[in-house]
Amino acid sequence: MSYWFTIAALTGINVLLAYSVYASFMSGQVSIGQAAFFGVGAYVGASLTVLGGFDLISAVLVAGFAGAAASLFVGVPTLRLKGYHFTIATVAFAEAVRVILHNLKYGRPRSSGNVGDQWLGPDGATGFRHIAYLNENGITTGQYALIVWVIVVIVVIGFFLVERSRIARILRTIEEDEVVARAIGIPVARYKVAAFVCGGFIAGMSGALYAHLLTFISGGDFIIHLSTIALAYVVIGGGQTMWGPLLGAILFTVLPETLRPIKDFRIELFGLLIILVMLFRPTGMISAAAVRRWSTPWAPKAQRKRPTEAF
Amino acid sequence: MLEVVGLSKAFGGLVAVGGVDLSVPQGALFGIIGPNGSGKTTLFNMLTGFLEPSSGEIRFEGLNVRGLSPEHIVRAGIARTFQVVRFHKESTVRETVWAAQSLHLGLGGLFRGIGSPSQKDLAGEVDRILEKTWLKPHADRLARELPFGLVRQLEIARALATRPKILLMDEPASGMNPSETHQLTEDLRRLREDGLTVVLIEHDIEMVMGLCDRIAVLNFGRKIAEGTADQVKNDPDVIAAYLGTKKKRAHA
Repeated sequence: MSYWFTIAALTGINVLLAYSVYASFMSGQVSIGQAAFFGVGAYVGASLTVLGGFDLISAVLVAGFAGAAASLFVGVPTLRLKGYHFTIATVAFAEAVRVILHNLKYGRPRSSGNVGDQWLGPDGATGFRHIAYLNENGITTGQYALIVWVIVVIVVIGFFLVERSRIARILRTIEEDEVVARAIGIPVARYKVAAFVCGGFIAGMSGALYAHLLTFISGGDFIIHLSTIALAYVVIGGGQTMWGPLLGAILFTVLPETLRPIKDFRIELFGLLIILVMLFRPTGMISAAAVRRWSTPWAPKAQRKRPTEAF
Repeated sequence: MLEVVGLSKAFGGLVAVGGVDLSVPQGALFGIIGPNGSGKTTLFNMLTGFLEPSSGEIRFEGLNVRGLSPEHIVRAGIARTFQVVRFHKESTVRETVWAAQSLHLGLGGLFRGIGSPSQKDLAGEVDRILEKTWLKPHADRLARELPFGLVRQLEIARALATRPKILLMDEPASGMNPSETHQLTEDLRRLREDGLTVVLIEHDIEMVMGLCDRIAVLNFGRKIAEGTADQVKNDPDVIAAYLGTKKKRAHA
């Protein structure tokens, strides 16, 4: 049972990661650097509970702010760039952060422990071990999964409210055409930075939750592979509405686990699924049109038919 | 209302706009015509903050607006439409106009749900704008599904939602058939009656001649004539430069 609770917690963490991508995705900015903010959040969060004596929730929140600060640092200079330049900058930053985390050493000696394993805190390439907060405080995996999902629900509600407000309309306008956005009085750079920083905050929280679940993290956990998967959740689930990232992250965390019996092929199957979705459903699994259809089932048929590209 | 003095823009050695003076009075329907490459769009881009002028002054209601960014200029009351129209693919007509209302709201208002009671006035305003622009029956259609003529109307609706005092339109009739152009002419007259000042750049000379009460003619970045339709039509410089000496009309 504990195994499935671990999967449940991991799923929630990945949902958060997916939303951290989605926040700036809404304004048309594609980040392949979320691993950096996730990693910063993981290290900050773990340091706070292990070395700083913080409780879990405070540590997660501070980790969120650390992720936000890191994304502000990348976002302010690069979000003035157009299109792919921003994406490349996020990749570069994530790589830099990974190398830094890989070489980080601070903390104090442990009172007990085997030879060669007597350090509390990140120990360079050996990583950050003994993040034992859950164990020390008697929090079971099931309870932890619940904590994670409470945070997920809060974030989902936040996105739900944003999606019904003018903020979403503004971000979508920026996504489509920045010139038009400026012409209707939208301070484009400010919105792009704000969206990206929100994403950084969510990624930071997500990273801290991850660190406490795994109890052992190292720079090698926060490679570009993680950033790519996070982006894939959004692109495959569907980047047009907030339901896409949710579905994408849940499906692509749970599915590979249930496919364990055919373990040799599950990664290949995963890859095949990505190709199939991109081929037959470029909007992702949940498109805006589909959401519109479900939320207004009484809409006349004429509006439901596939629009023709008339111009 | 809008005063332009000696406005110039040079791209390297190329002078796109060289020392243009314009004075658009309140309530005018002002037309700017000129052959391709005469600097019309460059002029517009400077007036709306998308291009930094090389020299000259732009004053709007006595305020110096030169050098302001586009988003500040819209807030001052100068809205524009574009020649090439683009919309968010998955937004409806109504949602497109919603976004353009955002400049009237503070952060709290922006986060509030669009359907919430506190935003009833804005919703009413959207309805009025959609009615004015013939889009009311199409309010919940996706913008990309609209026929071309209505897409142009949406462009106008979006500009109106910013509550402009003056509307600058970049070739609003381009690609329109004669009946759509006629409709547009009527619409612009009605907007003027509502108190809006309109400046338009146009290739469709007949439309401008029939509609505008004052017309400026640009050629090679300079203003070669200004006046009423009749004055401009009979100006020898205009006939030579724009309408051509032999041909009745330059290609539009």
